[in-house]
Amino acid sequence: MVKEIEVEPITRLEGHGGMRVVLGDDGKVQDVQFNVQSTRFFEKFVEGRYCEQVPRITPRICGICPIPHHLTPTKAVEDAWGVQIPEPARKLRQLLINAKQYSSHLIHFYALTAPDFLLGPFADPALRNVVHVINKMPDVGAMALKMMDFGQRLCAAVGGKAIHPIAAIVGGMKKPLDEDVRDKFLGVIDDQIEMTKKTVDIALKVIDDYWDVVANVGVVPTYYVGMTKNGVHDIYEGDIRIVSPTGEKTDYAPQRYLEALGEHIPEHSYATHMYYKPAGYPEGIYRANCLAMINCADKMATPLADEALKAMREKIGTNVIHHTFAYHWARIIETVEAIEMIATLLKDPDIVNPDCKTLDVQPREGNGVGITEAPRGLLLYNIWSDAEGICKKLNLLVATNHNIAGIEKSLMHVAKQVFEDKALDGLKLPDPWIK
Amino acid sequence: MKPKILISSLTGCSGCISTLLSLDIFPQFLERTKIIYFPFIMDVEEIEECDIALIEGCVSEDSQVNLLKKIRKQTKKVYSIGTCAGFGGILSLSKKRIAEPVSKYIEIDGVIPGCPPPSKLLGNCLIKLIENREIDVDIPKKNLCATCPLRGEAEENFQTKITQINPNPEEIIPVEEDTECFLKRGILCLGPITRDGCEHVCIKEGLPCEGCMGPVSKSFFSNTINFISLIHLSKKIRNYDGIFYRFSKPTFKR
Repeated sequence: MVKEIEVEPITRLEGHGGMRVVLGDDGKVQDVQFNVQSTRFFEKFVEGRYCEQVPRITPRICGICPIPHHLTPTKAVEDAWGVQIPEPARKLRQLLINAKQYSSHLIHFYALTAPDFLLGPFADPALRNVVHVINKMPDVGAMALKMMDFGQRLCAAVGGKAIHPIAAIVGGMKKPLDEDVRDKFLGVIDDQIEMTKKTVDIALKVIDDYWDVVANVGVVPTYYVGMTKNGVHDIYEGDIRIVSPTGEKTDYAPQRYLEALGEHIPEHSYATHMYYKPAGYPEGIYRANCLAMINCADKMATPLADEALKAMREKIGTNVIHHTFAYHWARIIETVEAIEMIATLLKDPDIVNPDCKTLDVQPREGNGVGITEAPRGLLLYNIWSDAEGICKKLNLLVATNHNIAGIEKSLMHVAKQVFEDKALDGLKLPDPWIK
Repeated sequence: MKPKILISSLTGCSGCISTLLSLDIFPQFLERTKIIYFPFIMDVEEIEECDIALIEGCVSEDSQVNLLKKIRKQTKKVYSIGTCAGFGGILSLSKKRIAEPVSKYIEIDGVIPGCPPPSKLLGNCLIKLIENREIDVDIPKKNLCATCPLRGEAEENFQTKITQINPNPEEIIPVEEDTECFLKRGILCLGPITRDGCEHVCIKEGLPCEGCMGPVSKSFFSNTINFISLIHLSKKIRNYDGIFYRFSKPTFKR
C-alpha cells in the first residue's frame, strides 16, 4: 500500500506551504512535493498601471521582506528609463536593505529556528516555540527582541514604514535620515554589535552540539544562485552569480538573467522548477538564500563577517558547502555583515545628505531589470515600460521560485535518508538546552 | 484567567503578524495571554476553544472558509487584523483569484485596519482586547482629511481637476508648514474616502493617500461616487482598475 505523509500547514514558515512524501509498498520514497503560494497574480495586476506605482504595490507580496520588494522594482524602472541615482540615495538604500536583512535573519534564527535546536527534535510540539524559549531563557529572549526591534525601527526610520515602505522613488530616496534620528541609532550600535557577537556564540555552540546532524543529514550537491559585486558579497547590487556543485563560478549581468535561469514545468508538481540553463534540467537545479550567497562570495564585505566565513569554510573543509543545515550558519554570517554594514553606513555623512534624489526622471519605452538579494534569496524584477511610463509587463522571480526545485531535491534526499537508509538512527544529539 | 488567543493567517503577506511580533507591547501580550494556536511561530495544528481569534489575510480558498467556520464556532470573539482580512485587500485587484474579507463568510466582532495596521493602533487594540474592553476602530467616524496636516483641507463639495496620480520627484517633499492639499494641486489623493488612524504617514512623507486603511464609511460605494463626481480626471490619466479602491474592492462591490 502506498503511504502518504502530509504536513499542512508547514508551521514556522513565513508564508503558507505544505509538503507531501509518498512511500511505496517497498518502503522506497516515490515522490516528494513542496507547495507554496504563487505570486503570479501580482505580475498581472500591475500591468497597465504607472511604473512608479509598482514599488508601492509589490511590497505586499511579502510582509517579511517588503523592503527588497520595494527597492528592486524601483531599480528595474530606473534601469528601463536610464535614471542614475545620486550616491547618497544608493547608501540610504543599502542601509535600508541591511536593516531588513538584520531583523529578518534574527526573526528567522530566534523565532523560527532556535526552538528546534534549543529544545531538540523530540520535544513536545506544544512547547517547541519562541514563546517557550523566552519563558525559559529570558535573557536570550530579551536580547533577541531588542535586536529585531532595532532592525525594524531602522527600517521604519529610513523606509518611512517598516512594513510596506514608501521611501524609495524612481530617481532616489525621498529624504535623507534626520541627523538626530541617525544619532539615536548610532548611540546603540555598539550594543547591537555586542549582541550580534553573543548570537554568533550561541549559533556556533548549536553547530558544535549538532555537528553529527550538520555533517551527515541533507548534504545535497546542487548549483547555487546568488549575487556578488565583483565577487564580494552584496545584497543591494551586483551581478547574478552561479556556483556549480564543484565550485565553478560564472557571473551574469542582471539583464542577461534569461541566459542563466531556466524554468522547467515538472509533471509531478504545481510549481515550476528553476534550473541553471547551461547545465540543463534536472542537473542544473540550484538553491538560493543565505548558503547560496555564502557559496557565491569570494569574500564578505565586512571584516568580522569575512573572518566568520573563513572559519566556516575551514571547519566544513570545502569552499562550496552543500550542507543544508549550514543554512543557519550562513544566515548568522550574513547577520554579522548586516550589522557591520549598518554601523559603517550610519557613520557615513552621505546618510544625512539631502542630495538623495535626481529630478532627471523621464519615462521612456524599454525594459529594465533590477536585482537584490532578499532575505530568502535572489529577487529579480524585469519591467517593460511604454513611452508614457505605463507598465506593460512584469516578470518577477522571487526567492520562492528559485528555491522550490532545490527544496524538493533536498527533501527527496533527506526522505531517502530517513525512510530508506534509517540514517537518523544512531545520530549523536546533544541534551536539550531547555526542556 | 489569562485569555486564550488564536492567531491565524489566510492569504496574504504575513505583514500584520510581523507587525504584531515587533510591537512594543508584544512581551506584555505574551505575559498576559495564553496563545494556543499560532502556526507562524508554533507547531500546534489543532484548533481548540479560545477567547479571542485574530485573523490576517483575505479568504481565497474553500479550505479557509471551513477553517473560519471552525474558528467562529470555538471562539468567543473574532477580529480581522489588517485590510486584507477586513476589506479584501490588495489581492482583490486580481481578476484570476478570489479575495474576500473574512466578514463575507463569518460574523466578526471587529476590524483593526491598515496595511499593515499602524503599530500604535494595533498595540492599543490588543491591550483593550485582553482587558475585555471594546475596541472602537471598526466604526470609522472621520476621514483622513479631517486631521490632515496639509493646508487647505477638502471642504464639502469642492471641485478639482486631477492631472496626476504620481507626484513628480520635486513634489515629493516632507510636509512643511504650508504644503498644500494634494487634490488642490491636481494630484489624486484618497484621503476623503479613507478612514483615519494611520497618522498620515504617507502624506507626511510627501505621498498622497492610496487608501490602505480601508473605506471611511459603510456606504463606500456612494461615498466614492460622490468623490468621483467632484473631481475631473484629466484625459492624460489612464483610468485603470482599482484606482479608487485599491485595497477595498470587495467592499466597493457590495
